[in-house]
Amino acid sequence: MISSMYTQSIDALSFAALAVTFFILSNSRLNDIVRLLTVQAVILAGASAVVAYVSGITHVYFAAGITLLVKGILIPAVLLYILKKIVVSPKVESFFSMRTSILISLILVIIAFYVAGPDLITESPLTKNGLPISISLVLIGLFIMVSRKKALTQVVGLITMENGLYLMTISTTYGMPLMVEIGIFFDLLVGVIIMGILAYRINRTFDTINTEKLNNLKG
Amino acid sequence: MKTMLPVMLLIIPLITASMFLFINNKLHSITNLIGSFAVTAVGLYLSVTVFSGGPVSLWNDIFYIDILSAFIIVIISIIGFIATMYSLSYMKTEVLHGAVEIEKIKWYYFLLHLFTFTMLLVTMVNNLGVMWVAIEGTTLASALLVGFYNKEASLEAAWKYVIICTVGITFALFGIILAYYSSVNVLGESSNTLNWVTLQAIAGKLNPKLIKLSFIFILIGFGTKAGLAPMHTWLPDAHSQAPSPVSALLSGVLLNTALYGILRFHIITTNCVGQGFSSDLLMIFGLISIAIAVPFIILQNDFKRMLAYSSVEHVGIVTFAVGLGGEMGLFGALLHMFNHAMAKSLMFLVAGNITQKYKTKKMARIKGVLEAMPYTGTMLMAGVLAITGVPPFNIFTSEFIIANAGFAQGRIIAGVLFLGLLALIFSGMFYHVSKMAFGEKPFKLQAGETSLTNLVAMTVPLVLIVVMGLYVPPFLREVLIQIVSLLRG
Repeated sequence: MISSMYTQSIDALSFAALAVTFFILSNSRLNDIVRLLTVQAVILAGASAVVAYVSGITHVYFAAGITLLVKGILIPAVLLYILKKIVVSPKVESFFSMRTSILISLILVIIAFYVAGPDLITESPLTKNGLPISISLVLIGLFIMVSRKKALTQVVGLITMENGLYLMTISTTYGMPLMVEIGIFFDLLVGVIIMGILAYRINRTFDTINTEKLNNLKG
Repeated sequence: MKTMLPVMLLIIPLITASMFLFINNKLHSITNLIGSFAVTAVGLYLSVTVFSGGPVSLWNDIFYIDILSAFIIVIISIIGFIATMYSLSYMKTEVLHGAVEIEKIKWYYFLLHLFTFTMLLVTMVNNLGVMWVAIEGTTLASALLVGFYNKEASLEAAWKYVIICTVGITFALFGIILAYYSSVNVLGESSNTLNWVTLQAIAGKLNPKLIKLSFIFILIGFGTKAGLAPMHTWLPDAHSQAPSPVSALLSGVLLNTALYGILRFHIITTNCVGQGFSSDLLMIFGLISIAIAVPFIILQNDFKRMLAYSSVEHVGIVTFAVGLGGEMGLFGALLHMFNHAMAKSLMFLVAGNITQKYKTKKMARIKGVLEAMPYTGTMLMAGVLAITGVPPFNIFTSEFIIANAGFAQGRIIAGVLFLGLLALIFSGMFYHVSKMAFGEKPFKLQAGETSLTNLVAMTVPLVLIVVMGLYVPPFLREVLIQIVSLLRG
């Protein structure tokens, strides 16, 4: 059995990642939100490092390192770069007020804990909280994507969803095969770059990255 | 030599793509010709090797091309070649019309060959996780192609495409992680836990509850990429805003690769959970997709959007057929994948000719195509008859087999619904297309085809839709029967 100290630290880090998500929800400045993504990446890298230490599986160290590099440094760098190039108001625009967003997210967390009951994943190697927290991150990420109007905040929602899935892999299965993990990170990085390019072009053409304007193709 | 084929098949499009970053515009045609021909030749050769000699596996089963993969590779090779050849004069004309700047052309071909690479990769890997990476790769490679014209509508289409498909694919990843978890529980940490072959073999030991959940998410995820309703909302925008040869690739080939993923996992689910669960879901989503397409086709005013909704319909047909299952259902589904690829790419290339000539996509403004462009007009009429399932064209054959399978299984309601919806779509599309084809051409329009090479490229699918409407070549029939028995285990 794994020492409870490690289980507790992974638990703590998972909850910290969830907390960062709530910080993202309550922050109204785009630049700060992107920096919060770095914080989330560091937390996840830390959690994977603990998993790697406890399980002795070395490739999880690699996954931790790549998380740090891609999600902690490269992706935020790309997003900040695009934000600099796009001259828009740095405030987040949403369909819901901040209070409503947080309320909805809390409900999503409750749903996640209800859904990820103990009978689903019976042999989690590490912690019982990993799965519900991962599902919370995925649901909140989805909510962020759906409720935010600016194109780049939708990217933030996507990254949150991916972070949730990453947390899920390291807390239920010690991480996916390294080849797959590298592929996923590569996809995510290229994806953010392409979305950045599109957001930049959208801004140049529409003079805004408010996706409410992207509404002309109908029928 | 045989084992190097998969590597060649992947490296050639990568090399071709990177060439475009360096070479002069004048060398575009010859690079495309050589690169595309090489990839097609290797693809077809590899497929024939698999058809006659059994699966090809490389590097400890990282690449695994069995007969189903080879079948999809054939489709990718043929349509890829046609689309690349068509692009040559199509893009030249777009530059002449000022729709595209000449410096951007190299990016078009770079992305085109990269896109081909990602689609080939999807069908060639054994590992479900790497396949996921490849499918997301196809979205990324084609996103900038969809938005290539850089206009408001193109960017809107490209953004929706990337976001919706990536979100969908993320759901699929959730499903894959669940499947991975069940696999690890059976096999322990090992290198082949996500391989198709392995999963199919241990399917009986996997946790049914987890696999059911896994299937639902994978169906939603890959279904988004395939254009199944209700996750199809990105499709009409993306397929209509992209340059027409890209639309042909998207509709004819990419949708098939997504269906390939669903098909593989459906087999694993059925082996694990038993008949009925995944089949029922597939039939429901299939019929819903066909039904959703109906009003949007009948009330449509944009030619390429109508073709895009037709793709939603046909993806629904294939999915419905896979759900029906059994020998006939699966045979019909596979045959339909091939037939639709041919018919739809022909239609999109026809649309390319027409929209370039008439400088509009609105069907109300397109009249007298038979008079203005006799060859294109003929292909237009043949194409619409083919795509709506009229004999003696190929889609009628596969739809007939599928309907037959439905009735043979005693599913009267589903069968009648299926046929009824197809009839409605036929009437809608035929109405719109005949209004475009017949009548007098606009007074100021110069008669004449846009390009000879285009017509040559388009004869391939044209011949196929006719020939395969008359009979299914024994070679192909044999291949399909083998795939069906592989799928049924």
